Amino acid sequence: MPDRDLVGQLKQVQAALEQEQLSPAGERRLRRLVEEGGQRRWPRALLLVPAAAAALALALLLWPEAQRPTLTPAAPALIGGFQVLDGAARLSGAPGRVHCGSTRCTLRAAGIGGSRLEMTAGTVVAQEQQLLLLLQGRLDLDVPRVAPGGAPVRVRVSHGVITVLGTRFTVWQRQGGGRVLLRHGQIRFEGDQGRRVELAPGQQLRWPAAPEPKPTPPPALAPAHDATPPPSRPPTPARAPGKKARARPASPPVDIGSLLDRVERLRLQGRYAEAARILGRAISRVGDRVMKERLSFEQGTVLTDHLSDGPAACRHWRRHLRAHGSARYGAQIAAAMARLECQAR
Amino acid sequence: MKTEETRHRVVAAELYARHRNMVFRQCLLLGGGNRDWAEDVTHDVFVRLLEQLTTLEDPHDLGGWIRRVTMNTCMTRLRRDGSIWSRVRAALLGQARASAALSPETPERQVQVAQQLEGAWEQLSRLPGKERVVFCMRHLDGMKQREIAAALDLSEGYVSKLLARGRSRMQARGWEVSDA
Repeated sequence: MPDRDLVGQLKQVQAALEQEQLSPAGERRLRRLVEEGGQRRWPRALLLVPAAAAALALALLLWPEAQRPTLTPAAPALIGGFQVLDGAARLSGAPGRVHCGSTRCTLRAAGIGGSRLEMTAGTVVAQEQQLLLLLQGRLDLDVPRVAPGGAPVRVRVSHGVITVLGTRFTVWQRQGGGRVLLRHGQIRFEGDQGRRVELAPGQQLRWPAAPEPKPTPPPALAPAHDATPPPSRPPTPARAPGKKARARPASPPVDIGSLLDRVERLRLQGRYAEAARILGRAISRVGDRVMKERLSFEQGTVLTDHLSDGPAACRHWRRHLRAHGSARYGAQIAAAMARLECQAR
Repeated sequence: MKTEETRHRVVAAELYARHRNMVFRQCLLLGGGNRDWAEDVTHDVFVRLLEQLTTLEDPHDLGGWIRRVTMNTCMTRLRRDGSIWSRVRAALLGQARASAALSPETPERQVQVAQQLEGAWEQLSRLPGKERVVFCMRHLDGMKQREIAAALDLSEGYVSKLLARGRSRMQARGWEVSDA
């Protein structure tokens, strides 16, 4: 007869966990945080460790006097010249480099026009005067409009510099290349090889440039250049402001990465119904069974966790189980169906 | 002024030494054994601690405060990660999935912990974030409903409802939930 005393068993688990400790890397990271916390709260005179003094000197060099951190408790944490608004950002190995250690980090770059940075886990950035360096990862940047005569914000990537003219966009930097997707406003990319491209909203540009770039027909509102529209948004005629989106062309290939980025954006904006619809449409267009199953599972989680439509979620999970079985996500689906009380529906 | 700052610095180091593993274990329990997740949340807890250290009345006696911040931070993170989105995305993009297992040091302990993981812990991890946190505070930490409500800034009635929901879910799955 198995022991069904949940609390008793959990207490045993808790007791077993008493021996668990932070990993050496976790310890180092946390100790560094505690030390950094001290650095940003105490004047330089108290900093006895030479490495800490060097880091602070660098920070003082990079930040204008007016932007220096105040020592009030309400001030956001300051790391590597960035104000940390949300998430677990920490200094990376090299001085001034900031690494996002949680799912998502939000920073403000006071020295770069007060730009707001949203970073995903693993993204590393740094700033040098008016230049923002994206060393790796994904960065959503929201830049206040540049005042007439003011210096524009510039983002350094592996193969060039993106000059920002008051806008919002996302940059991905991976080993050997990357891309930028412009959402609002206007940006200009100046490549190291002399390439100079201006982007309009909805367009994206990759680097390094393909050996023989094929110019794609630009949207009506976009200037001619070698930027391409994002894979999930095939080149459709540009919309007039305020007009509703038109239907997409039939069955373009599904770029899973872009699709998920788009769905993630919608989720972050709380547009769950739209996210579920997009996933539903993509499922019918994807040929690979495993991919279909995963997208269907994701659609189910959106229906279950975000949309208050229990019957629809239950119907979805039943369809999913009929189509894909329970081998891959059986436990999670069973839990979701139990939460939704699907048996009673 | 210097004395005050030095004191805070000492206090921060002292709190780190005293509470870091307690915070980590609490996160590990609530995160279903995911070490990466637990270390991330532990980091977040200490970020908050450092931000608020100067505003706290008796920074030497912060055990309760840290526990409360830990629970709140876990609750927020569980809610945010609730859709399993990040894991699905990582799988689709071919990235490494976060390890969800402990790394016990001896085979005996591995068996012991694994058995618990397969049963009770998995059940706990299937509770929604808020219910999970409240359930642990009540049944594992032995806190009263009033204390939980105060710690999490929730109404006592809501805490009671969360506990009842969690309990009934567990009972529906065939578990007995003895009151603390």
